[in-house]
Amino acid sequence: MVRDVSLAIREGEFFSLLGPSGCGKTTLLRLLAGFESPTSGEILLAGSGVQDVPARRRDLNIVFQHYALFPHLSVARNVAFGLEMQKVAGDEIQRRVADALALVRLQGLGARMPRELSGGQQQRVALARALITRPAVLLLDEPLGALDLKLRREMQSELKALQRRLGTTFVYVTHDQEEALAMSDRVGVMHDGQLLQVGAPHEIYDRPVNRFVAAFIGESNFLAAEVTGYDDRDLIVRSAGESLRVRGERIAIGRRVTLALRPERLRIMPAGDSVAVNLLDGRLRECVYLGTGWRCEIELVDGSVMRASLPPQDSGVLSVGSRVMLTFAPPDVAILESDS
Amino acid sequence: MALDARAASRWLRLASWLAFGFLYLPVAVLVIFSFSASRYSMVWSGFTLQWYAALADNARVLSALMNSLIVAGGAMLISAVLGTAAALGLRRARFSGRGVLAALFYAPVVIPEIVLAIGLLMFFVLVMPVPLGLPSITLAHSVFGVAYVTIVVSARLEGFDAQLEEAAADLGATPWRVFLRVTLPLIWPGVLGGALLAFTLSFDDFVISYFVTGPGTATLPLVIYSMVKRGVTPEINALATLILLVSFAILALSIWLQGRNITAGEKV
Amino acid sequence: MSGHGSKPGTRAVGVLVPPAAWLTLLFLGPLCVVALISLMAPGAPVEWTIDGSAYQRLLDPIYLGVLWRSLSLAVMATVLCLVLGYPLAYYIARRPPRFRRVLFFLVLVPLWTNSLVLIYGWMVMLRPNGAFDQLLQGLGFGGGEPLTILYTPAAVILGLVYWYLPFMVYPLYASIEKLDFRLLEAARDLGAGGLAVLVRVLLPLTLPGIATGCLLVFVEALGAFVVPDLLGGAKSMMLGNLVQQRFLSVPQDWPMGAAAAMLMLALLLVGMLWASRVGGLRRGA
Repeated sequence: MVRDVSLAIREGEFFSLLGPSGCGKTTLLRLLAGFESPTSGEILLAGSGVQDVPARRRDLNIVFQHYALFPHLSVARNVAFGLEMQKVAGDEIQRRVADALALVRLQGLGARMPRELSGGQQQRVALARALITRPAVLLLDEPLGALDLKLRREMQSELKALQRRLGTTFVYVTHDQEEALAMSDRVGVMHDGQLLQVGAPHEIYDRPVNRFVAAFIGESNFLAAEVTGYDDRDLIVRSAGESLRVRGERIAIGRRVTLALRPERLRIMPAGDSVAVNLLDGRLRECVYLGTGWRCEIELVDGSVMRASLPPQDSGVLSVGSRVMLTFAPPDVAILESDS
Repeated sequence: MALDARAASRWLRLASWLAFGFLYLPVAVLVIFSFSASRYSMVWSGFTLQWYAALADNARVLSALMNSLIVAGGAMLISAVLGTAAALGLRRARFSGRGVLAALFYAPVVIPEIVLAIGLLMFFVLVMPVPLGLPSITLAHSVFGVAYVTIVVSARLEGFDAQLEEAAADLGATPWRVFLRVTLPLIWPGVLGGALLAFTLSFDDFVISYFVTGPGTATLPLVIYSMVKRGVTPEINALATLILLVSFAILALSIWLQGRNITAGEKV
Repeated sequence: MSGHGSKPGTRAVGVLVPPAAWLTLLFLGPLCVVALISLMAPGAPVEWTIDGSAYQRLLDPIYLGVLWRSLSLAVMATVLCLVLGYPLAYYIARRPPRFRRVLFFLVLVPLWTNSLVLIYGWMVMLRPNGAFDQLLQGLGFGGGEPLTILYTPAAVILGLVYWYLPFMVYPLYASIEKLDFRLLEAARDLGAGGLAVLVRVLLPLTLPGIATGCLLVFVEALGAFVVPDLLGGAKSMMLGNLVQQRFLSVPQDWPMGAAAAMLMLALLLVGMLWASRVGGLRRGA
């Protein structure tokens, strides 16, 4: 199910649709591809409405999650399929298949059957098959979902490089937020059939529009707060018994808001050190070492628990059970409308 | 405990093989005595091929064989086309009433043969004037043939990835070319297996042919029936042996095809 | 833009039209004709007057006798098929998958080949001085007199069991194969003996298969006409033979034959409702 989605994807961009499974991102992709028809609304491709154009005549191709390679055809015949449908001449097909296989670094494997290839290779065949007709838009439905982590990382950069080289518009569906942030020019976050936020990866990460986006992309601590005032740069809010400065547009005094704080933007200081603004009293409950740094849980005086990620050298203050202070800079907070 | 279980499984095996023996006993008897020289007794009295030779001269048997082949061939063609269409349609159908429609395609297998037989007889006589004879028998056999092909092809389609068809459409194939280039190549063993099953079922059908045939037209099973009614002769043994041989061969081929896996690794 | 899973599949369903039309014409059409003709006044081929007397004629003591014999022979055949078919289906379901396929089809092959010819094979065996007779004489039974098994109700039951055994094994196999055999091990582990496992676990879990199998064998056996015709004597007439006579022997009485067929259909329908209830209860549990 997809409801009231309004989205403009720019020519030549790498656009990701990101959301948990069942959020409607695949349905949206299938609507674009022409496998489903919208109950209302329009789909425009290069300015003209295509919602009544069948999938076979839309100038966009899809790379399926499980590749959907034709099991009875060789790799070369799979790749050639789109050209054969366009009745392209035989020698041109041969030449372009060879080019397409070279593009995805599968030279010489044309005679193999799909089942004789590894998952990563099958993935490349699917890519070559979809790209060979030079579609205006390439739709990719979780194309890396079936690969293991290492291979997935490799394919991510390869895909990104390929997209840059060809200049083809990529619409990429994934539930992996890291993947979406790493590859995309822009990301659209979906939940429950609705498009919640569209923006560049850093916008999505640093300025999530609501609690769902803040929690789904990366990790966030949430603090309930009430606006008590503002000056020319910052809002003054009250939360957990403290008065805090946060960067943001003016909001009426008295409004309840939610503050979203990224664990890696929090700092921990020994209790009593009061040089900084935005201090929250707490007690260090737990600290584990993860190699890339420390991961700590701090219980605030009101009982809520905050998570903080610290660089490995910051181990000086980390004595479990001790009283500490949490601090953060005013621009590092996202202010969300309170849901209720 | 363990002994108990082992003894039980021994009994189970014994009972099962006895049941198989029961199923194939008449086959063995017919085959063996088709080569026996004795005319009347069930006693083995030397090997002979005379009953097979006699068959080759039996004009009635030969013309009935011709009729049977025509009927079975016609019923097979109708069944293969319509049954495959039904299976493809049922797979895609998402509307309410799909269950009722599916029941329509499976019901001819379950309904007592004789009910279908008299129904078709009256239908051809009273409602749809089809000449009683080869045309009526062929049409009648297509009824259960369509049902069987639908079942066999549906089973084949169960492991079929519909995304393959979407992929083909996405790459510019028209629905007809999607069918020819992707769907059919992947399901043809099922289609052929179902068609061969429809062929044997038609070739071996007695009850329905018996009712809907017209004067002067006989298929092989009808000829056998009248021979049996007149008395037991070793010639029937020879004919029965040949029929069983052909039926077994076609069925084995059909079953092999149904189990054959083109995609290798997707479906057992 | 809004949308959901409205597949363009509804368009592709057009392929259903020809086969559905074909079976509506040649399957539902004839069944409707049977229902219609069963209501007509006696006459051959048809007297177009609705009077429903055909069903009354079925209640004549002679035909009630036929009905009773059909029911009892069909019940006996069903029970024997179950007793013979259950171990067979269970045995096949527990073979390794490769063998399973082959064995299962070996059960179906006699059904799919020429059953008439196979019944003829039984005639050959069951005749006086036939293979069976000689075997039993050899074992010292019969006291020198030729044994007549052919043309007795026993021969009919044997033939029915033979012809319809695959109808029993098919659904039994389907439901046993789906069984999680670890349940049986669990029951044994909890101290159940062989009989307890069978009665408390195996039979209840495979009840849908048993119900479907019994239903199919019973209804098909009721409508049998080749088996009683060839293996049974004059006193083994069953419902199927009655139908055949009313249609093809003089005096013809199509309405009555049709009424007998309607009776079979009614039993089939009732049985199917019952079987689906049994199956449904199991699935719900």
